[in-house]
Amino acid sequence: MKRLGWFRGSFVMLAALLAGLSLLAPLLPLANPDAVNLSQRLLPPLAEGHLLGTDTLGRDILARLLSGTRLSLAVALAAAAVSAFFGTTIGALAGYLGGLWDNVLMRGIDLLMAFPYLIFALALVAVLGPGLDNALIAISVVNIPFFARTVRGVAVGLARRQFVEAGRVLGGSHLRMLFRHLLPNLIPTVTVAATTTFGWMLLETAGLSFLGLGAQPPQADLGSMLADGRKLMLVHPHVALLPGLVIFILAAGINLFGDALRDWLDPTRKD
Amino acid sequence: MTAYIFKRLLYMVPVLLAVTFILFVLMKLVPGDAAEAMLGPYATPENVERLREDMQLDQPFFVQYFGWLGDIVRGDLGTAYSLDRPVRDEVLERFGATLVLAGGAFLVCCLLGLGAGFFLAAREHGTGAKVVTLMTLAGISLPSFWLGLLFILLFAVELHWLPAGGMYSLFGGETLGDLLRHLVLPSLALGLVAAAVTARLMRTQMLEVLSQGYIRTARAKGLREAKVLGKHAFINGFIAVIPVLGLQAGYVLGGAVYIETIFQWPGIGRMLVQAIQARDLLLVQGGVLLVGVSYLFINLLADVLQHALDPRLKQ
Repeated sequence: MKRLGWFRGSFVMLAALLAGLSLLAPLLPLANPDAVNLSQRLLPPLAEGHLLGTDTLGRDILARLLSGTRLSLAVALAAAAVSAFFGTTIGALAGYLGGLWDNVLMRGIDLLMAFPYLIFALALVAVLGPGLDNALIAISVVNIPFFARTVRGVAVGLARRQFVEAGRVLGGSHLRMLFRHLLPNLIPTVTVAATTTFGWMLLETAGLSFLGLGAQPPQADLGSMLADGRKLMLVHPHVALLPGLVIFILAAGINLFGDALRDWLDPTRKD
Repeated sequence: MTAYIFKRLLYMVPVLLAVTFILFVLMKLVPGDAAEAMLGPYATPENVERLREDMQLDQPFFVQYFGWLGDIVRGDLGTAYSLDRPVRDEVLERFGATLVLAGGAFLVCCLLGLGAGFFLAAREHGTGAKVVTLMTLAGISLPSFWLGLLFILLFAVELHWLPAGGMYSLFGGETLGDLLRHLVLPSLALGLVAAAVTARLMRTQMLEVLSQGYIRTARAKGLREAKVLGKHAFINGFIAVIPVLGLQAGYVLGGAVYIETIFQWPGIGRMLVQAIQARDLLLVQGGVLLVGVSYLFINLLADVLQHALDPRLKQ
């Protein structure tokens, strides 16, 4: 924390607090996030019994924010994991094998990057159909190139190091080289890359839900809550502004944490 | 230089082929086929079969692909069934609107991003730099769709400075001034995030240049600091950032989807979202194709520009 400074540190703490609360939400004395109460609709924040007010169906906004946070974080985390898995595999193979394999794999990755990534994600959603799981797949796929290219860059260097050569001379198989020698050395790179993309993924999945292509009712993540609130923004701005604020705090917390993590794991690449 | 451009243009041919192929394969992955998707769940098998023949879906895969490719070259992208209009006309019209918005946002990205990056590198340890650094950090974490809503609430609803949406006023519009007034808020909302990313990179690149030996030489021979920063550090930093500006153009084209939805901008992003909801796959295909191809050419332009400005790349 000392590295971050109090201002940045407090953002990370705030995001961590939100994430923690969202995980504990079922245990907290909160209203049911899906309980509709039409006589209590659109209460302003600080109303009795509803700390952050209620939405257009009279549902408690605080409870919904926490359940939405949990869903958004889960989707973003899953997308980051899927993307990291495939991207790391492709990048490590390309970097280790080199030559023709490297060329084929990386040209394939280049093609994934030929489209602006959000447009490509939309094309994937068009094929798969709207829905949160499909949004997750789309966001994962469009972020694979980032991992593949980052990991390949490091793997190329590692594959030429003496300990790998020595391992090969001693009769170690390619698989053994990849898993025992390359992968452990790639972990810092992948961790930093995953933290960085986690923040984007959060913004992107929330964005797809905002467009109505991600979470479908009754399922609600932060993006779809923002979209719901947008219709009444002029009269009840808090319904739309609060989910957006939560997305911002979470993304900022994750990004600041990622920056600090990178500085800590790789002091040469400070910026 | 001409040889380089020619080589790059030649290299575009296989890339374009591959990109169209990916898009074609992607659309083939739709459950059922385009004919079923178009006619919906209540269509009779006879009607589906007739449409399938009409769309040549009964032909072998590669015959279909090259047939489609030939159609594209002839400028025929099919008919958007949800609009009952040629895809080409709709897509080109919408893309024009997107280019206006993306152009405005890209201008914001370049002016603010490069400016802020320059400031951060020049005043590396000042209080101002700390504030700007925090702003760029906030910028990369801001959901642009939320920022757009904040702008509408503040500048349109509360202050009545600028219109809340649309491209032209309903009455007496269609003038350049009217367009520019409508353009300010969406292009700011879209451009600020890209500007934050650009600023961070510009700062890093400029500091990299400033740590070089020739900068020390320039300072030692008594060159004014303004010239050191402006002539040496800025220009060389800028050249290194050009490819990233190409990527930002892609971000701006993609992010336009959100901003167009919020500001009711009649661009291609909003069209894509509507087309997905209407399951109008030909329209999606045409839109993605046009944006993708333009993006390829933007990046080509960025590479050529960098090549022209950086003598080291000439070898």
